[in-house]
Amino acid sequence: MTHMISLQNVTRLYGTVLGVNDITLELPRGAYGLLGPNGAGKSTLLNLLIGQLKPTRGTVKVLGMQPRNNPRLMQKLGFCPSFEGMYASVTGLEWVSFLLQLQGRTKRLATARAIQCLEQVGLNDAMRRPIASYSRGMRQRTKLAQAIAHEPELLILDEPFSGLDPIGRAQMTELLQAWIRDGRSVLIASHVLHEIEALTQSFLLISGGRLLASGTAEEVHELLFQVPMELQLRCSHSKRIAALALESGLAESVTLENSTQPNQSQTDRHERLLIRTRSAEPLARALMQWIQTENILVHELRTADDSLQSLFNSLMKIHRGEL
Amino acid sequence: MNALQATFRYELRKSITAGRVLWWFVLAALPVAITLLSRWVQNQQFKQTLQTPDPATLDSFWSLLLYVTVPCVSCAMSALLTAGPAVATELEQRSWIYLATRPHGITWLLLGKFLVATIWAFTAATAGTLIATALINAPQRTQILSGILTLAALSAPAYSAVYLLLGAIFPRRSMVFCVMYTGGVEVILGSFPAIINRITVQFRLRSLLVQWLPLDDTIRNSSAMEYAVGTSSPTTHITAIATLTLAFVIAAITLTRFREFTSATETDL
Repeated sequence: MTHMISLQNVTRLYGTVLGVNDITLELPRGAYGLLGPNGAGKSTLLNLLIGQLKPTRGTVKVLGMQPRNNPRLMQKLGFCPSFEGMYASVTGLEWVSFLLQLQGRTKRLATARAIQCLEQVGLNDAMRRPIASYSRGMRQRTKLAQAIAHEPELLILDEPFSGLDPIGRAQMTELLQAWIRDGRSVLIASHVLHEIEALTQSFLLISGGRLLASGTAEEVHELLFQVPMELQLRCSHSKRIAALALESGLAESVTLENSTQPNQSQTDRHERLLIRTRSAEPLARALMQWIQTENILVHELRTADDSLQSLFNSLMKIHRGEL
Repeated sequence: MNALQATFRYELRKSITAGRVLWWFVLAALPVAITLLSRWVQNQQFKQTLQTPDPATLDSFWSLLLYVTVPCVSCAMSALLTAGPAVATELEQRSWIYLATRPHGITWLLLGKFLVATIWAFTAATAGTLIATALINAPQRTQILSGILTLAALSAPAYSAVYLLLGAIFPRRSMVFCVMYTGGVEVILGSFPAIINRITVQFRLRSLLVQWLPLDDTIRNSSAMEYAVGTSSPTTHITAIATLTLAFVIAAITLTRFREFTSATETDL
């Protein structure tokens, strides 16, 4: 069976700016999450996959075919971009039906299928209203409807959850879960890990135009724990914790920051302890133990940056040999 | 074909906006307004001189006036407004990607937009010509009407194709380049007494004007006309216009296939 996506040394330059940098990858059919911070190269990679961009170097194949100007592939591909770009004056039904007619369906069949898809995404009542009257979530669902309407083999979604409220997110997740359960392939680009964790266990991590890592959700979490991380702690005995952390060898460095603001509350007046570690998981376990045994009152405990950005930054440094 | 029909219907439906309809009326009213103004001037002159103009002069005058206002200005202007920004609007609206990820989506889009631009231009020209010819005092009114309508039927698709191509080449400043092209190539180069003027739509339309409309022999045989029009048969000129139209549309489609138009913003890299 042909690979869902096959990239061989793919590089894409915008003048002197690297969009995608020497990516080699072979993905069998299935569901994948493409994770990366903003500006990581996700959109460039997706544009290469849907044939909107030509690689400066290397070869791109999607479902065994090169994507650029390939109508045969476009029959099998569904794409949902991160931006809206829909015409405000037409109705959702007209729009989806029109795009289906471009896929070769007759007007009657296209309309019937568009109604079915718009109902599937929960736009039963709104489909005959102009898109201008839609909320952000409704537009997002309309975009998804046009991407799945022609029943593509591969669905590529760019930030499908952006702008959705929690209910909208749950509905979108359910819909995509059903899609994946049917055994169809999907590639979801996002910069938020937990958004796509419910959909797939396979992730590709991209940053600075490079494919930095790939693996399951557990492996990504493992990576999160392995990279240098900074913990912030505000508690009753900061110095004691600092000493224990250094003695245990789990901390690379500790910093105690004194609060000198005059109008701070008693809680805020506790020293802030910053612990830099390469072993976040063992440190977290040890910390829990010290808090219990030393009877320490904790007011605040958090990582300095709980987003994926720190992971990507660290992976980039590892990639460059700086760590 | 189903996809082309769908695109045409969709684009036509989308193009019916208050602004566009207003422009349609303005462009249809242009030949009518100029005709009314000319009739008023004629009446004023008649009151002063009490001389009726020569019928042949009247035919020539109205033929030339309607030629300038209908196939040259009304058709070209309407085509410019609709076909010129064809690519730019889709890119600015960021709807390009939805069409580009359909089989031959961009080809259907451009063909659909070309047909819609032609329809808008031709219907405005037809409405304007029908009303204007009803107001003129030319003895050969029917010949003028049929001649102008035929020229408009050739001019509307030809200019739509020209502006569609310019819009595909310069999507960011399409209207500016379309206006520059009209002035520089169609008006100046088209009137240039050299072989190069044969590549313009204007040259072909003017050649057909001389052959189809009732022009006075003094105009037809003037030295200016010797270089400004071609002596080939109407079939040759019609074939040339059809070839130019087809070539421009094919060039626009080919260009969009090879160019990269992404909707990704710089921060999306």
